[in-house]
Amino acid sequence: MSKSTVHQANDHDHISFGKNVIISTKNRLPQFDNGPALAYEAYNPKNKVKKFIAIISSIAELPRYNSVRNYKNLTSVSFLNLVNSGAVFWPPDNSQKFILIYDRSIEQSLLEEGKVSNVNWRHPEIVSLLIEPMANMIREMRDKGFCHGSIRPTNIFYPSGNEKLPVILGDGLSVQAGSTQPSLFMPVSKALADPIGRGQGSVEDDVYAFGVSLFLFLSKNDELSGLDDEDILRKKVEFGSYSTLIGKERFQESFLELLRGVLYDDESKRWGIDDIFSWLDGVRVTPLPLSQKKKANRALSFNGKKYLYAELLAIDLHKNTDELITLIDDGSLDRWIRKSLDDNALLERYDKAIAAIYEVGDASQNIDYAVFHFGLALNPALPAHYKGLCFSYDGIGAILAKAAYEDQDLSVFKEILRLNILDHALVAKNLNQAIVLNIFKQYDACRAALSGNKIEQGMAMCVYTLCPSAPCISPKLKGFFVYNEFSVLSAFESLCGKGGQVSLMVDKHIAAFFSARNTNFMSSYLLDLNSIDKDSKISGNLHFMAALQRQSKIKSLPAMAGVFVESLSGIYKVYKNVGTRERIKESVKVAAKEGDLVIMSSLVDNPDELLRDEKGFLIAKAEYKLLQKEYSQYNSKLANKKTYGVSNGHDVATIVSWLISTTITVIVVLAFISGNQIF
Amino acid sequence: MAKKSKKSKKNNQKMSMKGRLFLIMFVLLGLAFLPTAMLLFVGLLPSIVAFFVGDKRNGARTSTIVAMNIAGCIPFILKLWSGENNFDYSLNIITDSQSISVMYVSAAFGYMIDWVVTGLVSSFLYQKGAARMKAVRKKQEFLMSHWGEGIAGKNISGK
Repeated sequence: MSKSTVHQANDHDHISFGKNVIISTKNRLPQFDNGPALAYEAYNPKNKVKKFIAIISSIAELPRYNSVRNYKNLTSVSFLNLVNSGAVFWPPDNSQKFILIYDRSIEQSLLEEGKVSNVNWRHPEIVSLLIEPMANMIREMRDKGFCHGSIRPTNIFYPSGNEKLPVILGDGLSVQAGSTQPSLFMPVSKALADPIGRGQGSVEDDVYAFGVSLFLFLSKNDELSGLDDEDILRKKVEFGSYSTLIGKERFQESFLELLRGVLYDDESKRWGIDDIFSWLDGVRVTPLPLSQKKKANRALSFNGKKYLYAELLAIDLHKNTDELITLIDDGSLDRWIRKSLDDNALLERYDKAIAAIYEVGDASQNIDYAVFHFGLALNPALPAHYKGLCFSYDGIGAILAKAAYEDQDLSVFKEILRLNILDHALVAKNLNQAIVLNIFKQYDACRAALSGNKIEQGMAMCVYTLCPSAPCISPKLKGFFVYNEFSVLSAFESLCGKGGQVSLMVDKHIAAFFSARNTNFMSSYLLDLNSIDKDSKISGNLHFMAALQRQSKIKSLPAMAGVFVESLSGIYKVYKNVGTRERIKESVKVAAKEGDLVIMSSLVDNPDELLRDEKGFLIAKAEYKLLQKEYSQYNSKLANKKTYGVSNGHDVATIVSWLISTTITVIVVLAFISGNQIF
Repeated sequence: MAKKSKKSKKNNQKMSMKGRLFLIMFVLLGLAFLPTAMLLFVGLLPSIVAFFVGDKRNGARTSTIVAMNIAGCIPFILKLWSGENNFDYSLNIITDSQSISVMYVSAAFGYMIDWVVTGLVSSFLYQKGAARMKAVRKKQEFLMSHWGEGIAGKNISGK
């Protein structure tokens, strides 16, 4: 996770971002907006001539902060130069936003919304100023594991002041890949999905969007303007993207060849970046055949329409579920598929769908599940549709994250996971086995998390597992954009500074966020965080926050340290020696004044000190036991004062008596020898 | 069990070979030195009584009385030996009230030594034991004040 900065605002009109950027909230730059991510003018306070574009993104847009590093690795000059990124307090909304600061090296977009191109470039210029730089960018993105997801003519720009230089691609980080793309720019497989549920993007999607952008740039007539998104989509499904778009347009043959390749609907056969470079090199590539949909010999009436194509019926199945139940119950749908459509592959998928539906129960009892399976059988290219949600296999995470952020009911997501809907949707895509297995692991982890009661488990874990770009949406951190160690600490430091915070800072969201992003790091703290003992939990919180401070290299967190130091009284009990306990307590207080959680953490749980303490305790305990034994012995002996020491007294008396006796005897004998008789 | 205790009682009642030999020697010596033996027998009567009356397990008191009783008899034995050393002279000494008083008072003095010294010593030892108990308790309190109640093996809260 990259280190970033959280910046403080100056006032409502001018918000400073780091030392070198000030954002003017009054100067909007709408031409650089990326959907709901709005663009503002920014400048360098030391050199006001140096201008920037600041794109402001909120949590709901799920900006791809996790792709910032990959983007910065891109070297092509055709990418908009990313100067800085991070979270900043945005006074107009009274909350933190994620901000991307780009160099303002662009001014005018390739096309304005709803207009045709008025640039009179010839073939070589179109190739060298548009196609070649775009191809280079897509190749570099592929090589460096990044997909743009926002390639469209309104987000491709001429360099400032010179239209005869290669084009520059606008922002793609401020929103989820594809979420701001009009459905025209998305292949059918993703266009139908909820914008935020279109998945994490792919090179194939970028190639397709580039193809549509090129078509619009070349197009001199706006034939599609009369059609709404759904009409275009239906036409794309029925006739294919290439045929739908090109229509009666007259382009040069070579461009048609390129457009036919990059607009091919079957992702596996669509031209890749190498094919585009072959085309640029003048190599003639065998033209791809136009896809032919199988037409039924008899139309199926559904929802007031006549359907001759299974693919089109798949799009509309959810629109009238009552009639769908009737079609299933009276066998009309079954007869239409088996007898009117001569498509063995579809029939095989249909039979599998029937088996899957009846495995769970009767179709009429769970019609949404039936809609999903029939949709997949009739048109496997389409995104999954379940209970009003439409998503790709890798796009559900973003919808879930947004729903969780907006405090919506998440039961439908639990159903999606438990009914293996994502698994079915993924299998239908015929992806590489290794990728599929990896994604299956994620789904299994989510299902396991759903049934677990630990702090890092539950729906929160599913959010962060399925949506890699979801920031931490903990209710404790509402109003903050928390996406890395630094931002977590900054948010808590700010909250602790305001007061009213408790030391149990890590909640389910924070635990799940770090578990999903860095499992090994988090696992060291989960034992304490999951403990039922309050002191262990506080200790776990302190150690975890200290580890974050160490990683983020924040020198001082006095407010957080103050909150912790107030609640550590129980933790000191880990040291048995009262003197050691007091010494540690004092040292912790000193560390807390300096805001050093790392030292506080090491003091309350110092292995060497603990070992010494434990050894000392065992020695003292043994000594106490011996003393107790001695005390008990004395106690029992002294219980009878009359008999205590009598035996010793007799012994001493014997000695005394014998001494006196001997003395008397010697005196008497000596007296007798000297001739004196005593008696 | 009962059989065993009976057997041990029988063994205690029986005198050992060594004891028997010692008794024979003692009788023979008594016969050989009859005047002295008679004087000693009468003079040491308090010791003999103390031996049989007193607690046989604690022979210290008897020993104390014997020591002083012997000291009381010594002058008269010397007197007997320096005189005629015959039965009549021995009888004269025994029947002399002064002589017998000296011998018996010395035995009583022995008894008094035992009573006084034992009382003093036991009292001293009791005080010493009580002081030690106090010191032990103080040390225990010191240890507990430094290490908490857990040191006494009591289940206390905390880790």
